[in-house]
This record gives sequence, C-alpha cells and structure tokens, in this order.
Amino acid sequence: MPRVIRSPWLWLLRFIGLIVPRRLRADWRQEWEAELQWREQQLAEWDKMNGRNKLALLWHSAGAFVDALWLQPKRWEDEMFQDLRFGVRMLLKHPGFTFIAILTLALGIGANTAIFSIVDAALLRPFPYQAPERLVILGEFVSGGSVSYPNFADWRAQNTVFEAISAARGNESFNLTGAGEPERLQGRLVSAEFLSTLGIKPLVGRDFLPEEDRLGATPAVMLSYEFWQRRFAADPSIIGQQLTLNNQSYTVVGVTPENFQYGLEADVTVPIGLQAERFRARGADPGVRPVVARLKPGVSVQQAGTELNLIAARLEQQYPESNKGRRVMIAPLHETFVGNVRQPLLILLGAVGLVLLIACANVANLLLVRASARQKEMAVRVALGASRATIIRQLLTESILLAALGAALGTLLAYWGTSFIASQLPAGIPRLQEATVDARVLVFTLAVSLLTGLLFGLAPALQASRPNLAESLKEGERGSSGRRQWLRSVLVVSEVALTLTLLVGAGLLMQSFRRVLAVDPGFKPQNLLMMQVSVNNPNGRQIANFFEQLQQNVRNLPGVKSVAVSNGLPLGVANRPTFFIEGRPDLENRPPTVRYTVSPDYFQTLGIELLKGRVFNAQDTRDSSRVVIINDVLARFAFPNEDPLGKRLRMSRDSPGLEIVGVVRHVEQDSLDRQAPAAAQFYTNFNQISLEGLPNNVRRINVLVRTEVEPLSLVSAVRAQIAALNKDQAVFNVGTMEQTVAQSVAPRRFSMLLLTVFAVVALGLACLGIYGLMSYTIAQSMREIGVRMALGAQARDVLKLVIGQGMMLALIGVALGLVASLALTRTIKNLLFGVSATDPVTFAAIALLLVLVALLACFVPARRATKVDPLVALRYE
Amino acid sequence: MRHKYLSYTMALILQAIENDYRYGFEVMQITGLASGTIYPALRRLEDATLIKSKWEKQSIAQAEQRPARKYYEVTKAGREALAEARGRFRLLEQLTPSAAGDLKPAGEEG
Repeated sequence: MPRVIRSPWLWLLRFIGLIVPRRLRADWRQEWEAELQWREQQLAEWDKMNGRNKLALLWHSAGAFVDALWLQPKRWEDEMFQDLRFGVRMLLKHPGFTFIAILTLALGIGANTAIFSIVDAALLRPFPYQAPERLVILGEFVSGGSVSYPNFADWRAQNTVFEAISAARGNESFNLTGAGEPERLQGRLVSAEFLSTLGIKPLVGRDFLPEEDRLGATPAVMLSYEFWQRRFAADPSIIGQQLTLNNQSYTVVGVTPENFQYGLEADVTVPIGLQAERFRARGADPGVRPVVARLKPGVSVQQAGTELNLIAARLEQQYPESNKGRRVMIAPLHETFVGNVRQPLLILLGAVGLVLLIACANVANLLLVRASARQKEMAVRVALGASRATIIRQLLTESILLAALGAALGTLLAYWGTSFIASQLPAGIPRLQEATVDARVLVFTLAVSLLTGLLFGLAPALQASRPNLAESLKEGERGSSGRRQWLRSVLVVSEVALTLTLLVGAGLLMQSFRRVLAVDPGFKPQNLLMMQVSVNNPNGRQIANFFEQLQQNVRNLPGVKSVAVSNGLPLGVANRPTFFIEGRPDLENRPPTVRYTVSPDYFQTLGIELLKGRVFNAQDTRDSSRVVIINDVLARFAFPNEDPLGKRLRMSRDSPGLEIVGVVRHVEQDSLDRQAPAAAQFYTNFNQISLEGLPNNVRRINVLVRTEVEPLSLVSAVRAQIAALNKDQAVFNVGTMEQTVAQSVAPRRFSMLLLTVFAVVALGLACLGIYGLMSYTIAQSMREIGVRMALGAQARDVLKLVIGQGMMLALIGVALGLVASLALTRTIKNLLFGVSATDPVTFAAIALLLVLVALLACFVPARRATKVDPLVALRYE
Repeated sequence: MRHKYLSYTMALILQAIENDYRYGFEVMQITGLASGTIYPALRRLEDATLIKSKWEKQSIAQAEQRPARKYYEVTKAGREALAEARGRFRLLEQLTPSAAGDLKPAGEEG
C-alpha cells in the first residue's frame, strides 16, 4: 500500500523549489517528489527504513538543492537576464573599452556622489531639532544681527506669536581651575528656555530652571557631551558637583546630548541671567546672538515679523535714545544657517553635473564607435527577426550595466572623496561632520547612474537599432553613415563647450583667489605670533602690572622684535561701536566702525603704517589726557577738508572726548575680499583704560609678538613667560597671523580648488573625446587618405586635412562654450573678487588653452595618418 | 550545451540509462554518484539532447496513488556519444548489457 509522504524531505523540496525558475517549478517538484517517494517506498518494502537509510534519503533529497541551483541560469535566460549576460560577455570581450568607459563614469558619478553627500548634509537634511521648520532666528538691523538683551526681554514678554523664545551668546570664554590642569573653555550664555525652544532634552541631569536665569541665582552649568567625555570620562555622578569657572563655583545640572550643536561649539553652557549686569544697557554692546524662537503652530514668519516690528516701534517710542531705528529681522533657522553656503555648494553641484554630462558624452561617443563596429551584428539580428525594441533593450541593458559598474567604483571614490573634501572644508559650513556616503546618498547615486546609463545609451541604441540592412550586410562596407558621424560630432562639440564653461568658471575663481591674496591687508602678517589670554582678576592694578610685566619680559626674549597686547584684531574679533565728533551734529550715513584697544607698540608690531601725527607713547598714561588714533577712512569721512589732529572723538554722545593724535592706514577687519565699504577704525590706548574698567576689558586679550625667527618656535618661550607671572593663566588660540590669513580665505580656496579639479577632469575627458573621435575617423578614412597620398598629397596636406576636421569641431565647441559661459558665469558673480564675470582676459586665455589642447588631441592621431603607406591603405579592405 | 566528448561521469550516467536504469535514484544507486551530481548531469544531457525525458502515464501514477514519475531514455545522438565514450573509458564496458546482464533495475516499470 503506497503511502503519501509526510516526511521532512517533502517540506525541504517545497522550500528549495522556491528558487527554481517558475516556468520549471511544477515539473521539477513532481520529479523530485516522485523520486523520493519511490525510494522511500522501496526502502520500506526492504524493511530497511532504519535511521541510517533515513539519513541517506535526507541527504539525497539535499541533492535537490544542487539541482535547483543548476537550473538558475535558465532563469537568466528569461527576458533581460539574457541581455544582461550577453552584456557582460560583450564588456568582457572589449576590456579596453570597458575599462575606459567605467573609469570615465566612475569619475563622473563619484564626484557627483561626493558633492551630493556634502550638499545633503549641509543643505537638505533637516536640523536635528524638534520641528525645525517652526524655528526662526531674530536679530536687530542696527547692530548687524545681535540683539540688545533688554530688547530681547521685552520681545519675550510682549509677543503672542512664539511658543518659546530664547537668547544665546556664544564665544564666551571660561577658565576652569581647581582639580586638574587649568583649562580655558569655550562657553555659551543662554536664557533658561534655550534647549526647550530647540526641543532638546539634556542627556543626563536636567535643563536650567527659570529661577537660575537671574542675577544673583546659584550659578548652574551644563556640560557638552564631548567635554563631559573628555574631562570627566562620562561619569554621570558629575551632576550636582561643583566646577570652578572664572573663579566662581558652578553646580553641574546637566549634560547636553551627543552631537548637539548650535552655532559655535561650547564646552559649557551657563544661564545668561547670571551676568545680566553686563547686558543691562539697552541698545548697546554687548548684545545677544542668536535669538531663536519657536513659532506657534499656524503662525507664519511674516506674521511674527509684523508683530515683532510693532513691539520694536513701541520700544522705539519708549526709549528713543537707544532704540532709534531698531527694527527686527526674522528669518527661518534653515535660511540663517545655510544661506551663505548654499550658493557655493549649488555651484559645485552644478559643476559636477557638467562633469557627469561630459563623461556621458564621452561614453556615448565610445558606444557609437562600438555600435558601428557592431552594425553587422545588429543587422543580422534584425534580419533574423529581432524587433527594434529588443535591440534597444539589449543596448540599454549594456549601457546601464556600464553605468552600474561605474557607479560602484564611483561610490568607492566618493567614499574617500567625501571624507577628504569634508576635511578640506572651511569651518563655516554647518553640520558637515554628518557628511558621509549613506543610504540617502546611495539612492541618489543609484538614480544618477540609471539616468546616466539612459542618457549615454539612448542615442547610440536608437541609432544602432535602425541599421540599414542592405548596406550593413554587404561585405566590405565601411559602415559609417553620415548621420552617425554627425551625432558623434555633436557630442564632441558639446563636450568642448561644457568643458570651456567649467574652465572659465574655475579660471575666474582662480583669478579672484589670486587677487584676494594680493590684497594688502594694511598690516604685515609675516613673522607674527599671536595668542590669547583671558584674565580673571577683580584687581585692576594687578592686571595692569601683569600685562606691563609680560610685555617687558617677552620683549627681552631672543628673536623677538616687538610685542604688543590688544583687544580686537584684524581678521579676528573686534568691537563694533559707534562714534561722534565733538562739537558736531550726529553724522549721517556713518560707515561701519571698528574699535581696537591696543598697547603703544601695537602699530609697530603689526606693521601698520602711520600716515600722520604720532602713535601712542610712554607719555600717554592713566593720568594724562585720553588720546585716540583714527584710520584714514574715518579721517576722510569725518574731516574731509580739515586736519583731524587735535580734534576730539567721542564714543557716545555725552562721554568725554578723546584727542585725535594720529592717523594710520586702514586694516582689513572681516576678510581680505571685503565687498562692503571700508570700515572707519579707531584705536584707544590699553594703558589708558581706568583701573576700575580693566577687569571687564581683559576677557580676551591678544598677545602679539613680532619675531625675527620662525614665530611658532617662540611659543613655548612666550608661554613660559606667561606661566612665570601667573601659573594658572590659561593661554589659547595660539597661532600665527599667516595662519589666520589663510583661514580667512579658506572657503574661497575650497570652492576654487574643487572647481579647478572638476574643470581639469572635464578637460581630460574632452581631450579623450576629441582624440577618440579623430582616431576613429582616421581609421575609417584610411582608404581616402591612401588615395590622396597615392595621388601625390604630402604629409602636410594630410595633416592639414585631418587637423582641420578636428579643429573645426573644437572651434565650434569653443564658440558655443564662450556663449554659454557668458550666461553662466553670472551665477558665480558673488564669488568673484576683483574680476568681472565676463573678464575678457580669462575668457581669451581659457579659449586659447582649450584650442591648444584640442590641437594636441588632433595632432597625435593625425600624425599617425601621415605615416600611412598608400599601398597598405589601398589594400586595406 | 553540446559535449563533443563526454566526461567519465556523464558517460557513466548515460550508460546507466542505456542499461534501463531510468530514474534518477536508480542511476544514483547503480553508479554510486551523489544526487547533487546526478540531477544536474541529467539536465545537461537532456539539454544536449543525448537523453530525453518522459512523464509516466498519469493513469499508472493515479492507480498507485503517487505523483507521476519522470523517466529518461537515451536518444540516437546519445548512443553515438556513448559509443565514442566507451572507446575511451574501458571500464564502461563492464556496464554494457552483455557484461552486466545480472544488473537489472529494481522496482516497478513505468
């Protein structure tokens, strides 16, 4: 009596059967079931159904798996798998072509992936705050964005549009003393609602309480995750302990989450209310920045702006002295953070897009060449009944396969490229640490490569699928139809045009960069050592002595030419006050103003030129009358037709006047590539700050050393002098002025460098394109050349003929490229400096460069053509 | 897939089928080859048209209350290939019907 199998092998078969091609599955299963059942039955009849035989049967049924695997290629034979297999075979058959095509695509796709991963991290990803789209940044027009704290307090009290509003002030420094090494910490002052406005919860501990954000409250501090890790080894018991910051004891209440970032980095965060005294003055420095607020649901940015400006108008009426003309700016958080980097990044993205287009054109060209070699193959296929769609599908499969391989290699390149580019990036670009090649980026790459495959494959595929049967099947026909030649020429022309556009862009940026570096900053950055100290000492006399002694000791070090201290530094942080001239009405349209407080040797140390009068000297003391030095911009602005010396400048309407004793040259404050009008600058004397005022003025003092030797070699000697005077004195931001200058041009350097790299890659690709086309054309017209030579043409004539053909295309490309550049360089106008977007010199030089390169690319194959032996060429089928 | 020259394994399997061992498991038993070898080999031989397969009549299978079985037989081309292979692999001779007359397939016929 036969039995129905209810054995484990039956289930095994069901399972394995899943990988058998659907078409074969039923048969396959039936055969195996029948076999196994038969065998089992046989064993049962022999009474040998023992464990050993059962095992053997199970083992044999496992053979079904091998069988199923063997059937896999059958699946491939279905539909496109066949195409794919064929495609792989074709690619392997022509390794040279495959290698060049994949490499070209890898460059194009890799560069796109890398730049996209950066753009994605910087521009596209939402900010890591809760509902970031409802966050806005507020600022006041008058002071360039920073908000006077009393005004902020009024906004907070009077607005009805925000769920929460909070203020912060970064770049505060704190000296950590007590247990362990003294350390200077980056700090941030915040109002109590700061974290909750952003929707961030402390990782450990708790947020600040409103009552801690007040003058006289028990000082509380929140640590950054990184600082907590570094200094306290992530010990959670730190909560509740005391830290000594700026000689004051703070209780640690919490730790901010890992990767929490807002503007400048901060090791410690402290309630701003503790220092409310400092921010008391309405409409004056120091202000808070940023003020970040969360809109109530349904409130638009415009509505909020309208209401805040109403509040501001009320405040203006209430406090006309300080709030005159103070208006509120409001912008979405996203806008504020990425506004500056959006344009350069999008331009780079556009540039790599062009590179990819060029790569596509190149590969399309290669494919066209291949297509004419395969014309007969296609003709045979069509003759045998292949439909046009079949052939197009086949060819597109091949090109998408190429693109996929290129993308795989490109992703690898991008993986390295992204970390390299990220490491080269200027610090100004937010959230770049997050830039990696991740799933999002890979999806982008996948889309790009699919698109690429279609782009470069479509035209050749459409062409090849329409073979002229009669022509192609004829033996000996050099199947190069005029149409195909025409398409290839179009591709080369557009390659040249695109390359020219990229080169012009890169050239303009290079020119700008050169000009920026050539800008005279107004001081001499060479051999200038800088460091900062932040003094915490309530005793003005001691502070004055400390700096006096320090300068004297450092001046005596070997290798030191001069030394100075200052509050405020070119290309660094400086005070931005306003000024009045004694005995004059308020000046209209005052230029932006910068104030430096400097020791007498400052001008000599920085190498700032004295134009008129004198610099500070030993006679200017706290007991003598207060003096001030102005720059030429301020002099020209306030005293267009008079001698400024002896006139008096005031820092507020009713403060005592300072006598102008000298005029010095303007120094660049914000950047070398300043677009704004030059700033009015004035210098007050560090030695004339009152002893009572000193403790509040020495939070960030620059120590500047002009050296005769390599400046960094003196770092330890200068540090030793500082430590000798005060062993707890933290020193930070050690570096040279040349480094600062380099840093100030880093963003410009970055976009210039990348664009140049892309342009050079494009040039290489275009060169390859021209070369390939010319080699191919020459190979095709071997017979023609042979005939000409047989009829008496000289090598020169052949050269002229061939180069003439190539250069024709190159020149058309250059002409089109120049037109395109004229249109496109306008988009990089804001990135240019000292050079116009249509700079004729750059345009001409680049065009010439491209023509020369094209000439070279034509010349090499053309020379080969002249070496043709007419006899061989004529026999050449 | 055309095999100009059969490998020994292929020839062995072909010979076994020629000797009327017509199911996979029978071939497996008589040749001592693993099931993972036999079945792919059968598929390849079939692709090369050296053997062909037939499903057993449904009525027989139904009568026995089991799935219909597939049995293989050697084609003309298969016999030619086998003859050529016999020349190369002497051991195969022992499996030819005359030499191995006592080797009869077990089990019922299809």
